[in-house]
Amino acid sequence: MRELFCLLWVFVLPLMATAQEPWEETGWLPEKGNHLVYDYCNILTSNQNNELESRLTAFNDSTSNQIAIIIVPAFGGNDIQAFAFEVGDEWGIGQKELANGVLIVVKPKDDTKGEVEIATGVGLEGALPDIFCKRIIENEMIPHFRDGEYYEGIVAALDIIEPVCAGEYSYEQYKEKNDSGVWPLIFIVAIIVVVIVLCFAFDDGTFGDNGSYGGGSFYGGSTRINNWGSGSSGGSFSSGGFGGFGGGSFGGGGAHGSW
Amino acid sequence: MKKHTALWIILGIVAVIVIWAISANNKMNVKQENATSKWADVQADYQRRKDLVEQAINVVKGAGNYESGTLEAVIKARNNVPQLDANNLTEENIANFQKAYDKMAQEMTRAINVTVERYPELTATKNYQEFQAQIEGCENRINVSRKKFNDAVREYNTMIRLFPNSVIASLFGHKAMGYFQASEGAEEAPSTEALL
Repeated sequence: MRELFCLLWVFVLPLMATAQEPWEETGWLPEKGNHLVYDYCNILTSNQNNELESRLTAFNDSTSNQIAIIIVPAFGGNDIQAFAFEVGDEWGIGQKELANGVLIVVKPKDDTKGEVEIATGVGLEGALPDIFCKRIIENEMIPHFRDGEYYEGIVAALDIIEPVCAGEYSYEQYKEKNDSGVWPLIFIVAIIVVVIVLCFAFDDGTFGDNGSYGGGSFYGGSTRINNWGSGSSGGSFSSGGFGGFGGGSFGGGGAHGSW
Repeated sequence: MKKHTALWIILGIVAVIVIWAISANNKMNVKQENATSKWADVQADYQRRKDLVEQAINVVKGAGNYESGTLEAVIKARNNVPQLDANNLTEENIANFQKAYDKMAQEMTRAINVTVERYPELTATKNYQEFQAQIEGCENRINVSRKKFNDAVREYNTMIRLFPNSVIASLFGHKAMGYFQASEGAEEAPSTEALL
């Protein structure tokens, strides 16, 4: 038995030693979490990380625009653009109805060149045209990144991106677009009316217990109104931390740079 | 009486089959519609690349003493790109469509490269830099919309090929759609970065 274990280790240990970092595996995508800043390289201090996290969470809560930041040493065999758009789509950064997400991907300079991509959600391509993103990268981010000031470079970019996004989509707009609260109500009322009409139509004795059946479904309907109401207004806007990505989509807008 | 029961059972089974067939057909229609709408996105993104030719011409003209030969090649390639109807999305048509657009992009890049070689100071101009960011964004959009189209087609094709849906598919005339293949050289061809 013991020999068997030894043999097992002989085979397993080399495997563990040569095990790849996850981001070097082909097709790797970072796992979505309930936060907006993902620093796989640990280049941000925990203070800086918290600072960015709370800033972006507050921005999401006040304007519904979602900006996520990923700092990775490699892109799972992809180039930075394909990686960014895939992550943006897969995670659904931005609200579904507005597609107002922005994803900033930074690969710090190591043996290979540093790279940065600003990917814009479909709904923000007008407010953040490619050339605009390119200028932010060249003029605001890369000068800082060259000096190893990653946090400062990201903050400088956010200082420009945030007001532009906020000018395009406000929280009120999001609420307006997302306020489907009235429609389920109308739908339920319509169903109730149909049920009542049908009850009367068939009320010739053979469907005798239909009356009470109608009453029951009316109750079910009214509780459902409550559920739907809280579902559409609450959800991603909890006051504590970041409530989750909204399902936005990416179509290839944005720009990238390297240093 | 017994005769009637058997008749009703058969009628019931037929009804269930008909309802199933209709709903299967509807699902295929939805998937097909989804794929063709993705095709519209692809075409819009390629159109964007076509529009970029205007900008390329401006960049080349911005160099001043431009060569008319290179420009003519670009414009000719631009005029040769086809529209592809969403009802004819076979593998072959898509490949041809892609080839024509890639050729145009290559001509465009060639004209820019030739000009930049001759007038290196051009790279510092606003026209050129904007063009570069545009072309990059354009390529990214094409890649993304192509991928989304392929995904939608794959979903549709898988659905109509699996039994028993395949029976319904052939009955209602649902044909498999073509994919985009990665074309060799197309990826790096439009990049103007290599020169910098």
